[in-house]
Amino acid sequence: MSSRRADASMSLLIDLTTHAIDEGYERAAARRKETSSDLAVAPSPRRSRRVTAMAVGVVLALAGALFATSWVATHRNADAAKRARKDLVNQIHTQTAQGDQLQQQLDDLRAKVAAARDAALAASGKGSTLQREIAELELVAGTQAVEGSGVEVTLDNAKDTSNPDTASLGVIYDRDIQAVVDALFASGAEAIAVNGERLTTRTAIREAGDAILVDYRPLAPPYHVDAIGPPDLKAAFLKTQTGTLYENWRQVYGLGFSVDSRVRLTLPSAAEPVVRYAAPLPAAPSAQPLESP
Amino acid sequence: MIAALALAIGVVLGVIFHPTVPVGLQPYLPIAVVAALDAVFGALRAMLDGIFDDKVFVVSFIANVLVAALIVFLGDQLGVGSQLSTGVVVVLGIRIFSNAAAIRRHLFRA
Repeated sequence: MSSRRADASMSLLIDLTTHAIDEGYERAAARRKETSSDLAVAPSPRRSRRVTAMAVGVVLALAGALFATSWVATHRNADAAKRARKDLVNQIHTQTAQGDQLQQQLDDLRAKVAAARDAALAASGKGSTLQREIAELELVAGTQAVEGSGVEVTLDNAKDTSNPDTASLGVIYDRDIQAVVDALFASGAEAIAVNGERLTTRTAIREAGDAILVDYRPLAPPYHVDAIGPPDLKAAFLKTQTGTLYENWRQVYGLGFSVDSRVRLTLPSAAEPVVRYAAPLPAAPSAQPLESP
Repeated sequence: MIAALALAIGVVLGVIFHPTVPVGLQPYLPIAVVAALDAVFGALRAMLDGIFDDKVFVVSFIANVLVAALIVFLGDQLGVGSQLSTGVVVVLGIRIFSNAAAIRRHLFRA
């Protein structure tokens, strides 16, 4: 019998390593030695030995089943997680396609409404004046597709992210696009679209998760900001604080930033904003019709 | 030999039937597995030491698995479940490791 230390119950770690094997085995062995030396007691009968041997087999089979169950459960859970993810991705794709289809339908219907309105207005002299007025307002509001010369500003995340100190600084956020759009408007741009999303007075450029949303539609980099404006738009934009800042960041952090003049840019129309709650002040003088040019 | 066969049969049965573990018992499955591993390694070492005992193995296996699961269950009820299961895994892991070392010494004499 091993001599027990006085502090055996307290020194947990020593106990752990020196008594790694179950103490029961040693005690049972010691008992066996005692009984076998004491010939008065016969060795345990055959039947009970067979029973315990079978019990060992059953317990080992149980252990094997336990390991297998655990293994299968772990892998099945991983498969289930993968399947759920795949289902979600598929769902996203179907819903996006559906959304695109509805948007297409909406655009077609809008075009039809505009055509019908134009046809109705063209019938009378007063109508054609109104038509011109509508066209002019639409042009300013951004609900009319437009073309003209301007610049294309391209923003992109830095390609080289090997330097961990600057990797996060080479990422484009919503505020970067906001800054560029503001600087372009300040430089005289008259119409701007970001990745084909025309900006109006009610277009939000914001971020949700890792995606930048323009007019609540997620965009993928690189971000192309197309702006129609005066011939010196590029020079004016590059002279703004934003222009110099981003040019600087391009050199320091490898941010994707380029400004190119475009002879002919075509910008799509934005969705017609619906005004439901705001009404003109009753006391305001009735709006004068715009003078026809 | 018979022991290895029994273990293999258990694994095969588990793979074929893969019994579903009740959701309530699922958190205790990993702990039960570690406790079972500890008991099996301890038995292997005892066998090599020449002091293996059927009864001790059966009782220690069942008791270890149940007590390990019970400790974690108790911890869950008291809000220290994850800490206690870490503790159980550390203690049993150390035991498995030193038993494996003893087995290695037996087999390779090194």
